[in-house]
Amino acid sequence: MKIKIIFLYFYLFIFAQQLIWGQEDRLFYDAVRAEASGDLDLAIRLYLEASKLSHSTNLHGNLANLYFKKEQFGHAILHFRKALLLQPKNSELSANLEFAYEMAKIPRSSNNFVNTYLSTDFMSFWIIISTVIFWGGLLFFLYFLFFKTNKKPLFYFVLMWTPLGILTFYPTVLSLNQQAELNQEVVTHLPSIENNNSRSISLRRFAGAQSSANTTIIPGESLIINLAKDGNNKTHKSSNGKTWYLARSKDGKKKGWLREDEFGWIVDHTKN
Amino acid sequence: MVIQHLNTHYLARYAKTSLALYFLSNVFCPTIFAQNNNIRVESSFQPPSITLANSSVYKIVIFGSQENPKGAIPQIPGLTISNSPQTFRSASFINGVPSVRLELSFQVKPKQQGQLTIPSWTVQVGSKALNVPPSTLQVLAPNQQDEIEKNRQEKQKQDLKQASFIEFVKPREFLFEGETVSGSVNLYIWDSLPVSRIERAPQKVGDAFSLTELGQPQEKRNRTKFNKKYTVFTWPVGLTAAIPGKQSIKFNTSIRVRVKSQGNSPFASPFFNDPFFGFGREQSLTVSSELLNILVKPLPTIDRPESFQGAIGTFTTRSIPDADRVSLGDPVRLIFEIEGTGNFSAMPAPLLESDNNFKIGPPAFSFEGNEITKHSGKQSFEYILTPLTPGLLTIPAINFSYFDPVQETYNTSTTNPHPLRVDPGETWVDPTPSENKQNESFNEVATTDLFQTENEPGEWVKDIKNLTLLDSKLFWLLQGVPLLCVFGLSFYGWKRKQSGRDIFRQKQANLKKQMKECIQYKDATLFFRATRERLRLEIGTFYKHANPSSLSSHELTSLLQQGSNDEGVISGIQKILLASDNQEFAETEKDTQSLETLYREMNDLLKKIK
Repeated sequence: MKIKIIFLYFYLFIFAQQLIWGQEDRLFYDAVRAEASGDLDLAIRLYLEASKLSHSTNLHGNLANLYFKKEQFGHAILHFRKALLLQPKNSELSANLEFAYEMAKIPRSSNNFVNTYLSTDFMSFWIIISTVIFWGGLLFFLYFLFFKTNKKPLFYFVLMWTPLGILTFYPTVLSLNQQAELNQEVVTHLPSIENNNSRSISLRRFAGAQSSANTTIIPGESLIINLAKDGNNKTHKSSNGKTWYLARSKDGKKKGWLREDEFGWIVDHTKN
Repeated sequence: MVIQHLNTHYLARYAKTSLALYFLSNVFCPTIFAQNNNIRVESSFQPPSITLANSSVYKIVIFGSQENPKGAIPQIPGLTISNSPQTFRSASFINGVPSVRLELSFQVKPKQQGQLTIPSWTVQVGSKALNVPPSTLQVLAPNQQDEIEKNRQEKQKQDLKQASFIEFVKPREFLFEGETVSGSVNLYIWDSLPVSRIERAPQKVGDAFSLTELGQPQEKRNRTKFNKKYTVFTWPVGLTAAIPGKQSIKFNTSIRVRVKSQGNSPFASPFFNDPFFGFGREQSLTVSSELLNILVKPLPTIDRPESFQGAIGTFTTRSIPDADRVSLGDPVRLIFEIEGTGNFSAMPAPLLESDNNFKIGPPAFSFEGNEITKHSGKQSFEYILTPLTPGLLTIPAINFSYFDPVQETYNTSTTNPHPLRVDPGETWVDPTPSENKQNESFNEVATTDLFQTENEPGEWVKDIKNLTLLDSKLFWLLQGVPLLCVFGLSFYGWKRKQSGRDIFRQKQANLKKQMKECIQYKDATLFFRATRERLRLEIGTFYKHANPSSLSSHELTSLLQQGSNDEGVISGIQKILLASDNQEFAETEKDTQSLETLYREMNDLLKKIK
């Protein structure tokens, strides 16, 4: 009898899992149908529900497209970024994101050396190069040390290996920093319906809706959420239950408090 | 007239000295010992004889009274007497009789050579008028030391003048009114002068010239002048003559220099006063240029063209339309360019008036060239011409007159007229509705093209994570491969070192190196010594002999014979050993060629040992 009950529980568990796992597919197809019928708001709602369960590149891509059609560029940029994080090589999504930035009138950072070659896109490259130079160099070092009677090549090798190691290690650290910054990156958007794209978001001096603005930003602009000393996000909970986050622009020129419904995390966030 | 002037001068000096004595009488009179009976006055110069460069003291001593005197010292031409005397009062008893006296010392400085005598004059002490006896000062010609001192002072002055100065080179002997010339203002700063900063750019003194704005200077180091090293700051300028006549111009600026502190340092050390060590104080120093005289001539009025508008210089002109065929109403851009050297900053645009064919707007200016001096470059005037009638029209020629300051003549440059075909154009249709429609369709197409909806969800993931290569387990697993290699290599290398093979290899390498050097320097003795050592080492080690270095030639041969070596190898090595012995004991000469051959042979033989 006991064994039968255990088996029953096991089958129920498997069935429930199947139900849960199938839920996002159903929501996705419902959203596609709603979009085809012209009900964009319903489609957005269904996609968002699906995204609470699971994520896919196409889900965020479709969602971004819908927001774009509704001229809610902040949301559109956020979901394009999410989709690109799942599928970085998707050129169609990249083109759409660039167009969304253009439409939102957000100036793009110039493609200088730091933004290009020290970005997160090149991080794997730098890690591999650093690893190869480190291990290869170490093996050569040991070879010269133990198996060569003449120590002159060892000296020249160390002289060459050390700066080469620094030259590769430094960009690796820089790109890792950029990668770490991505965890704290958010994309701003207007809290409710944002049909008017001339509206802007205020970065307040203090964590409160009535506080004056330090500066304003365009919906769709990226910000970095500051960390407190304990490593968690720097937040403040106001009396109406809303959580405020201290954010800054990437160049550090803009800084202020941002309400939780005025931005979206690019990477799923568990802290705070 | 001269006497009257001198008298006035003396009266003024007399009044001054009188006032000084009166002042003294009020300030220095704490106690008065009056001895009305034996009051007498003496006067003298101390020292009585000096050279022209030195100074002396005119001393008046009043015996028998300490009462303040009243009077005026007569002024002598060629002698300067100070107004503030030093006063000394003394009192003593001589043979029980009290004696008092008052001394007044005046600093005197001669201006001329010869005997300078202050004549007898009267001084009032209390109620008594006393006669001050005349005194004579002998002023001698300056001696060699005075000359040296004078030269030193002059050199100091010259050095100070040469420490920092402004140089502005006169561009030409004369300029014309309104003419612009380019030049440069050079500020020389001696490298030994501790300058902390230049307070301001040089400023012009004189209203007869206008100057372009002084930008950032160019710095040139190690320029030698007056046998000194200078840093030169150069400001390129454009100088325009504004007022005719004989004019002068100079420049000045101020620099901040560190000088020695006036007071002593709190640590009583010259180091803490030295400006070169960052101590001392800062002082502003005004630096000036020499006064430059430039003649500014007015422009000639004879043969002055009507189109002359004040351009002075040497120019070439041309006009370029941007189209030769347009529709009626379409604007044509006509660029008129003036290139050369001259007063571009004061050059108005040539007048181009609208007529029945063209409506011409005011031109836009642009200048390419030296923006600071605006003296040489290219000035462009961009006119917009709107044709008013269809047909074959002609864009008119533009006349530009200027004065050439080198040839001193007026010139007129005329551009070519340009033909322009103006088509009648098409009937105007309101484009607004169709344009809107086009725009709408464009947007629709663009949006559809860009944003395709995907019908399949694709691969689902639970979370969007920012994963890197460092999060990959495979990456860390792969790191184990080189890590194992490193450990393996280290262990093997360490074991190898322990086994002593390394020492053998080191010795072998050293001997090989030594042999090669011997070949290079043709040292046969050392070569054969190294050869024998190497044979001992390699053969002895090969046959695991306990002490290879002790092996004789005979023992080496025996070892080779014990092994399974060919006769050729054994005889070859014997031959080398014999050659070594011969070299050592008989010192047979070997040439470089044979040493090298021997070295190769030995290498081959040692490889064949079994």
